[in-house]
Amino acid sequence: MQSSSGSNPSQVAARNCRRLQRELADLITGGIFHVEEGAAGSTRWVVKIRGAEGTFYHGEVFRLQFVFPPEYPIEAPEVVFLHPAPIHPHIYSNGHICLSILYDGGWSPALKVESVCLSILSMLSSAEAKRPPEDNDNYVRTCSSSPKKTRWVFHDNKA
Amino acid sequence: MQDESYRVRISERRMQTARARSETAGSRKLHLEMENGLIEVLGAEMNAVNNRLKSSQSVESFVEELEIILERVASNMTSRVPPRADTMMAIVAEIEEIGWNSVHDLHPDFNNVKFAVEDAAKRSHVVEVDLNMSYPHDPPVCRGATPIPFILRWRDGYTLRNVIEQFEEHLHQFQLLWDVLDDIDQHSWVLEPSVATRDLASRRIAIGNHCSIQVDIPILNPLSVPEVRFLGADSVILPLKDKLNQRLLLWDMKVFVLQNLQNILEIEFPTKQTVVAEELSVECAICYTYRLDGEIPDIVCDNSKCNPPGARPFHAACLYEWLRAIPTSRQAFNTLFGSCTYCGSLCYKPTFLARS
Repeated sequence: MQSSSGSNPSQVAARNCRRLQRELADLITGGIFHVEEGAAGSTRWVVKIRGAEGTFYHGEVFRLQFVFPPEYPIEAPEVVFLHPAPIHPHIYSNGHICLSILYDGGWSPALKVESVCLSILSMLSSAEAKRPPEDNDNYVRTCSSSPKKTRWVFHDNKA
Repeated sequence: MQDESYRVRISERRMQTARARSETAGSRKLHLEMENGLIEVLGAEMNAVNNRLKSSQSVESFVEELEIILERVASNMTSRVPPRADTMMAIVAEIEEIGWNSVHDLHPDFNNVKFAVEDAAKRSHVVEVDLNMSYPHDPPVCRGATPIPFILRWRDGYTLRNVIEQFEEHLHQFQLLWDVLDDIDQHSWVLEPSVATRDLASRRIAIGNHCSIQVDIPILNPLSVPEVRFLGADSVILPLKDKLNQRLLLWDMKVFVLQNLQNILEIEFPTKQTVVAEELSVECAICYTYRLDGEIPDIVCDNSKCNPPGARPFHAACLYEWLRAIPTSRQAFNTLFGSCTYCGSLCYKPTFLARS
């Protein structure tokens, strides 16, 4: 667990530092997800997610990147899949994820890194077909680098 | 070569005089003569004075700077003046009369003594005595942690022994109060104060489910009905409030407060022996700390059906910050209404003071 590059510990407010410290400790003891990169003072974590048995993604390992704003947990973290992203109707090929809890209106400070990972795992597991979103090419060409700047329309409430 | 001689009179505690002479020959050099008394007063500041003397361009500017230094020295002196030697001897004799083993702490300057005093129930108390310059002519200033401040009655001829006696007498009136409070501290889970000092007559007792009861014990009548306030989710505390109102006639003045509350509310207070710390001191769901600026997380959803696993209470300040950030919250006067992050019902009511 090395501190990731490109993050400035001084940006992390004291409160969110304390909270991230606890979340990191809980993630490690929880043992469901493997933290590849991340430190309590770091604003960028990478967490490994394994596709569940009996689903389209069995045997595949994906890497989720969390970037925490200084206002975290009042503000949602920015969550994207690092390349290669899973092929999924709600996940764009650039790693952006169409999941309401990740954005304004769906995020709540009662959520945490672990619950976000669980939600994404459950979204993967409940896929009915392994195909990219219909508007993938158009979205990937036009979207901003941060998925938090996208105006998301959530069609599916099953995930 | 022209010698200029200045007489500098600096009005201080004892009218010190200093003579500064400047010689104006090419480069101006200041020469300073001072009375021994003034040198003594300046003490360690003499280095600063000599430095100023070398760098000053004129006598006027040096005098100004000397004044500033003297003012600083004078202000340091008045705050901590030890008593005179004969007074010190008298104080030592007075302390000896009481016994050195009662001395909790003694300032090296003899201007502050702390005595440890035991009350009838062997509870230990500390009385702090400030001995000013004019002691024993003027009464010492005394402080002790008691619900009602200790006020010393002073007469000529009184000594520190009288201080201790009067403090013991003062402690005597709170024995029943402290019995009641000790009973609470020993047989329930006190959330606040985290460190109970003897001057505090209120306790915040955990009931469970992130709810608590704030009890203010009447200081001089500790067995009578205290002022009671319930804190926590309405679904838990409203039935308790009703019970307290309906069964208040059962209050028994011969029994301690904790027992009375248990009888009337028909609950058992959790204690440190019956529950583990994690169940009662649950950290805030937002900041993941327990105590934030002295506050503990005590806001929970009012919906009795909302009890998801792992749900945590919030600090009012943290919840306020979150609800303020989302558009679904509504504000009425100084209360913010927001929806529960767990069950979605409109339930959170953090009250806050209007911030400018």
